[in-house]
Amino acid sequence: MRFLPAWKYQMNGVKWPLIIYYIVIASLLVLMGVSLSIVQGRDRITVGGLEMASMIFIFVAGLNSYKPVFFMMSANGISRRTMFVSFLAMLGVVAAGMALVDTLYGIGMKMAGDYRTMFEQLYGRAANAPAWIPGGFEWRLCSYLVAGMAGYLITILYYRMNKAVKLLVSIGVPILVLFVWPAADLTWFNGATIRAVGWLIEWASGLSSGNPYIGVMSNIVLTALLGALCYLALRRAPIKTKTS
Amino acid sequence: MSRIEVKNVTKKFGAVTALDDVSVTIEENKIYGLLGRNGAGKSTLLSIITNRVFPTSGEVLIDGEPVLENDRVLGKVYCMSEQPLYPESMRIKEVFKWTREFYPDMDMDYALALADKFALSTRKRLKSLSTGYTSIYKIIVALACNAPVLLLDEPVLGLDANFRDVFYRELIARYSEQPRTVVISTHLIEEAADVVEHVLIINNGRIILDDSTQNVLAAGCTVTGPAALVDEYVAGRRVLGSDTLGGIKSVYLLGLPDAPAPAGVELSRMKLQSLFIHLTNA
Amino acid sequence: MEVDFSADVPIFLQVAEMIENAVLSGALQEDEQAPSTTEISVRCKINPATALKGITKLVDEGVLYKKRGLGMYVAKGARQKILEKRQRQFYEKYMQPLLHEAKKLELSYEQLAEMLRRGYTP
Repeated sequence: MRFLPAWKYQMNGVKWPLIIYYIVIASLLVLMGVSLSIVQGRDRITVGGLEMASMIFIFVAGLNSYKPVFFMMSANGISRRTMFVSFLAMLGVVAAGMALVDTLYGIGMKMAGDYRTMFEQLYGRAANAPAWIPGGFEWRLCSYLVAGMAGYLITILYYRMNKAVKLLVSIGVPILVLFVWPAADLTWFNGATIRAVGWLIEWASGLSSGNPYIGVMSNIVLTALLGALCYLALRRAPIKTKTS
Repeated sequence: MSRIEVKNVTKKFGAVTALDDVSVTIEENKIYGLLGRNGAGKSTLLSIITNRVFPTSGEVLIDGEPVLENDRVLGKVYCMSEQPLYPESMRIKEVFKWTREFYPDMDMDYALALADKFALSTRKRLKSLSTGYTSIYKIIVALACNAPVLLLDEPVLGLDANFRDVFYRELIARYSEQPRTVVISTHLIEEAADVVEHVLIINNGRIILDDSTQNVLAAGCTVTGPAALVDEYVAGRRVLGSDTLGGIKSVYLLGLPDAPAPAGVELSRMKLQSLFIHLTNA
Repeated sequence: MEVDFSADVPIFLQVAEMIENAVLSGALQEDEQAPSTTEISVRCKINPATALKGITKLVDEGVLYKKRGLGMYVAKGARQKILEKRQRQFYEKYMQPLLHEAKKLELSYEQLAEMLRRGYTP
């Protein structure tokens, strides 16, 4: 397995976006700090939830990690299996790195002002409570893994669909989720299915019990599931370009 | 070691059969010409050999190992294709750098020297390159990467005569220094004819000719003369085609007749290109 | 050395002939180093195996010989050998087609002889 060059290539793909992302976050922080202290005349910062931004970032990174990488590696004699394994390794390193940075960021911000991480908002555990630092880190790591894997899966599925199916899914899925399902739910189930899904999400994420480790476990299972689907979709993906 | 065995490979795209039970062995350290008309299946065959698309049935072995998802075997092959597989925003020097990551035997000095020879600035991004230069950067990577198997799909696409000349000379020079297995697929047959040692002609998804260039050239001939005499002379031979101009008829044969030509009938050799045209016209 | 190979003669024979011509004209002297297979194949844009075949033929005929580790050299007496061989081939290679064409054009023996006299200045 020619893993190392493949992994290096995967890492190279996210290197600059990652640097830019944190530069933007840092600039926003400075900007908000300055403007808040001017407007309100105090040094307390009341923003939170960097985790959501990081999840979106890593989701987009997952979306962009498939086609160009698949083409480049195919041109250089790398198998799909190695491609996938190198993506996993990249995602793991990036998710762990971001979770670490975001955890440290949360601790720092908590000490500086009234900052509430998403983790704290959801589970009510303060970022600088020593007992919950590892838990927060693990929760972030696993959330990021799910986000990255979901992005990767969506882009592979889109790649594998032909034009007609792609169009159908692009229009059909949002209509189904946003209109058909709620309408059907209201008409026939009196809102029961939506409540059930809501309950499932609250239970699986550990919100109902207030235990973030249930969320961590669920995310691990979800990551494995999405990963398996990714590999199934990837393992027989042919090269498709405009000219062929 | 770098021998390719294609075993009973069939590839269907929906209702279209691109390759129809193709079996062929590509011997190591020879230069092969893979000739075929547009859509004959050349690129599909090369894509299957490099695990880029999967055969509907059959398999490909390199040095006895299946290529299917096999990094070690795939790493012995560099396939230059028309498909735009490299990221458009990449610079030439980055292409070289990554090639060396994936093919550790790559000769960077040679790549840079060759870029110089082709007047290609390594600072350029791929999206800014013309068709000719898009072929050129891939040629450079192919020649410099030192893979034991080179598959070159339309390597001279968009190249002017001078650069085609440079390409063939460099290819021969590299090959003489370090023999390797080379497959060139091209439309410009006459230029490649003297370079290739072995000819594969593919037509409608089937290999219709698989022989050494020397044998192929020895077998193809044109018989010209008065129609009646010519017809009598070539009776029972494999006739590929014929032309008539006035009362003079030219017949294209594969396999020379045993008897000497009667007076008034002339025999001449056919160039590879004419042979190809007559073989694939049917 | 831009060579346009014709289709009628196998290329390896044309390669051998090209070197023979160089020896005949004195461009390649006896005991001088002959071009290598690589040089020939690169400059004529032909497969190295073809070039090697041409060289091997000349070695077999005693026109070239191999100096271990140094390459191919023109043998002593090579020019004389080539000269004799070409003279032997002259009738078949040049006279026969000439006569063939002359007959087609209904030229008489006397007309042919006259042309020979006109053109030949030793």
